[in-house]
Amino acid sequence: VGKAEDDEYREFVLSRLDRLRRIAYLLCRDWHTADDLVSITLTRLYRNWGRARAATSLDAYVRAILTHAWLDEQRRPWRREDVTDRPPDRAAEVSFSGASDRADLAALLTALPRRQRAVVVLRFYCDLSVADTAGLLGVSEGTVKSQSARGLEILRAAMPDHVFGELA
Amino acid sequence: MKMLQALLDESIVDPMPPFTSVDRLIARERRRRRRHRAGIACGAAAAVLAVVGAVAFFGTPKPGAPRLTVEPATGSTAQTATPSPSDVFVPPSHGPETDAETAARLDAALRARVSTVVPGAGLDPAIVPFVDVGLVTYQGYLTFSGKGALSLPSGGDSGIEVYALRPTPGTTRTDPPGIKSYPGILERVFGGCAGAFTLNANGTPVPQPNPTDGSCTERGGPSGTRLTLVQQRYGRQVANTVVAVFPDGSAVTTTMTNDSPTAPAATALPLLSLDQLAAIIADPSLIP
Repeated sequence: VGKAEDDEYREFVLSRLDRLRRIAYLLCRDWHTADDLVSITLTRLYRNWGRARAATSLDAYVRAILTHAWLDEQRRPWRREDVTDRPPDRAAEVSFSGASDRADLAALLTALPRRQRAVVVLRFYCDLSVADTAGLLGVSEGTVKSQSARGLEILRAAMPDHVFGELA
Repeated sequence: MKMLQALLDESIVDPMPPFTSVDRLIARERRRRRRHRAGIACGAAAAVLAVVGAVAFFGTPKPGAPRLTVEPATGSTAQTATPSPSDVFVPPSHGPETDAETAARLDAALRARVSTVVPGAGLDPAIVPFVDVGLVTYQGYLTFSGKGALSLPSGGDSGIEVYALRPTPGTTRTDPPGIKSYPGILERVFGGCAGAFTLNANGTPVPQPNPTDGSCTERGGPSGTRLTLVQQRYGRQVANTVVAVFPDGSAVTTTMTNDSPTAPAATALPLLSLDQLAAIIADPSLIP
């Protein structure tokens, strides 16, 4: 990677850094972990910059690295969830009473299984199509449709109707 | 959908100032590449000198001489060479080091061990020193770790993580933000099979797994190491974990999975067997 490519890389990263951090935060809901994920993503991007800049969509390439970095982190043995005798939080129990409770939406998101959460973030925050989401996650389009439907159902149960009016 | 997108955006509260510095990242990667190139050149030169010297001193090796070999993984295309760890534990000797110097030394040592046990194997993306990508820390131990994917010349790659621990009695270490420490995590390193299966990452007792979920064996290894070899299954994911505890209380542990960031569950088993992983990490050169 020469100086010109370094400059190109720097310019690209600086223009996308905030967005990447926000996507990472929605996935993991922890700023430290989000910064870890962004750091891993940017390192991999730099090492593969020659190949990445030739990609059809550089943004899609970076989102794929970030999402896989997060899913990979979640699979580590020490990241596995605790065995507990308490039932998991039920999304429907979280109340959503208006604009002041928007943080609840992130809490609801956290309650979704990781793949479902990734689908919801990619489909409805990154605005990816079903096909693009399926390609990025390496699953079928049917899986993306069912995962996003289930995810939305959980969110819908706790949020005002007008939020989902456009989706109906 | 736009409404949901806006709500998700607004739900992101109190963003922390980013500590990811792009310029620092570029500088670090440039240093890493220079070290890597220098390491390859020095390694090749040292190997040539060593072979020339050995042949000159001992003469040509006799055919049929005993060689230490390691069985390749079942269903794997990995080729195994002839590691030559010492049977006597010799603690590594080196002067005072900064964290970066230790990380560089461990990175080079790990690459050398991988090259010895699995010739032609690559670490891509390269193992990143602990100080740059924090995962888990072990209180009371100087901890370094790295993660990446190991690839074989014949194709395929597997995710790999390595942790290297050296006890530091009477000292404390300030870890960078984001580094996590779990009570009980040391049991997973030093507790043998019991620690591997009866505690989770937070030190909470968990039920014994169904036998089909995995296996664990303990045995002695080279250099006086005590080895714990664990294979566990989590759905389609299979994780091979090996822990090597050295006579001085240091430890090196590695986990390899049958998937990687670019290839989820691409193979039935991790590319390297438990024996191959043990041959890589049971070496004092990997002690911080």
